[in-house]
Amino acid sequence: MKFPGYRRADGKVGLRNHVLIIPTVGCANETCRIIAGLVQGAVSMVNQHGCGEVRGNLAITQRVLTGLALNPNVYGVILVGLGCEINKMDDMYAMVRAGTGKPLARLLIQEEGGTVNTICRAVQIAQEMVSAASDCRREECDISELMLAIECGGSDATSGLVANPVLGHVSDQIVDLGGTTMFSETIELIGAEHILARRAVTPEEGDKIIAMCARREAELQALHEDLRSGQPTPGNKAGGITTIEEKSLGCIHKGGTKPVMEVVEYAQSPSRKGLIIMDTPGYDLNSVTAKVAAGCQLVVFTTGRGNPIGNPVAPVLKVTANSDTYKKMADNLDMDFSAVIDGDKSIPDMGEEVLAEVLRVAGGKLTKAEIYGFGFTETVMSRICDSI
Amino acid sequence: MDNRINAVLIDAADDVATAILELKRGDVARYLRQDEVIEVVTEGIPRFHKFAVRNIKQTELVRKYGEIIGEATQDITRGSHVHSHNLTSPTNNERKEVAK
Repeated sequence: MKFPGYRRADGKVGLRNHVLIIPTVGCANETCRIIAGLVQGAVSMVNQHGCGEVRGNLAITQRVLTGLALNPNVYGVILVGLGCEINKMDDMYAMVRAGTGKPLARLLIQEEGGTVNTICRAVQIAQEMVSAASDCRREECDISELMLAIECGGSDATSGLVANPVLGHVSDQIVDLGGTTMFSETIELIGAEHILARRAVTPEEGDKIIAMCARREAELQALHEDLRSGQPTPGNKAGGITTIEEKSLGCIHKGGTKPVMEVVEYAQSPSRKGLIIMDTPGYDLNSVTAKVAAGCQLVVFTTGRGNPIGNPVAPVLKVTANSDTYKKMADNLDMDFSAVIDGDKSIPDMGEEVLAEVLRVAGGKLTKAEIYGFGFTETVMSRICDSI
Repeated sequence: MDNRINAVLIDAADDVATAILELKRGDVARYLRQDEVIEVVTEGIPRFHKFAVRNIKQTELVRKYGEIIGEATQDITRGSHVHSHNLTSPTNNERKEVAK
């Protein structure tokens, strides 16, 4: 299966052609917002971090920012910092440069002499990058070049019943065709981690799945918080979910049935193709950010209750199997699977329709979140502790 | 009562199907298994709850999504509501076996 994409110098394939303005510290967020606002084709993002951080948090900040810069949907990058932050510009620049030869520029607000001077220079650079980006042509690319992030949020009974199994079918198809799919949200694997571990290609990868679930539970217990008590919730039970295994199976079904090739850390790029699991929180803004930072070019997001979010770097395709939700939020949701609930369509048939839509979006069709320009404030990163 | 599909069997190997409409006692549930329409007379099943698609014996493992979701705590006849009163998490902790 083919789609038109942007072939990058490193061989990777972009579905979009953004110039990304990255604030390397929160102090540069507003300056970056103005720069991106002045240049069509440039996008920016909010970074709440980059200073006042312990090493563990700095490492996460750098991994996420570098990953977003390296994402093949990004043609070129302008890093904008302040000048005195912990996340040093020299380090950020070196990390991005080590991973890519794409156009890359750096500016520090203190060196440039304030926001206005920084904006003037950055707009000039961004304008040149956008001009060159706009000269790139899409060419035929194979679905095996695709790394699809699979997310679920705002779930209801229709998520586990139809929307996630449909996505599971899509995931299986993409893997069979040589591509890569990634799902995460560790909290929502608990209760079914043994099933995923059984599907891991090696015992080592299986152990990682068990360990990451145990670690997240232990960390919360240390803070006197508890995940398992009251699971499934009274609301889940009223909705027909009996055991925690059943609840988590509804979640993990979005990852299909293929072997788990690799288990990666938060925002880490996989080294293998096929089905990948990443260790992330269940909070959608956070887990979508981490998967896009790992290189996913496209996100498919299943929802029951409805959800509007986007991402600055990757299109986010929203799907629901709840016909009432689709009717209420048709301005946010891209696809309606309720024909499966109604028995008019099978799960594999709907899966084929989703795959066709995935290829259209890969080839340039805009998702609703993209049409509204969503994404600027929708990057969230994990923390190991509070700021210092 | 029309002849529309009103229940979903997610995986052909599943022991339970899910009602997508509320079913009253004696209503016929209709679901697709591969391309075949299968009919089961059910007891009352709330919307999105499960019913047995075969007779299940006490202590037997019960599948949904093609995977084990629990263990029967009593005999369950075909068409009966399957929920907390007759299904519990499996007593064998499979996770420990995998973690070894």
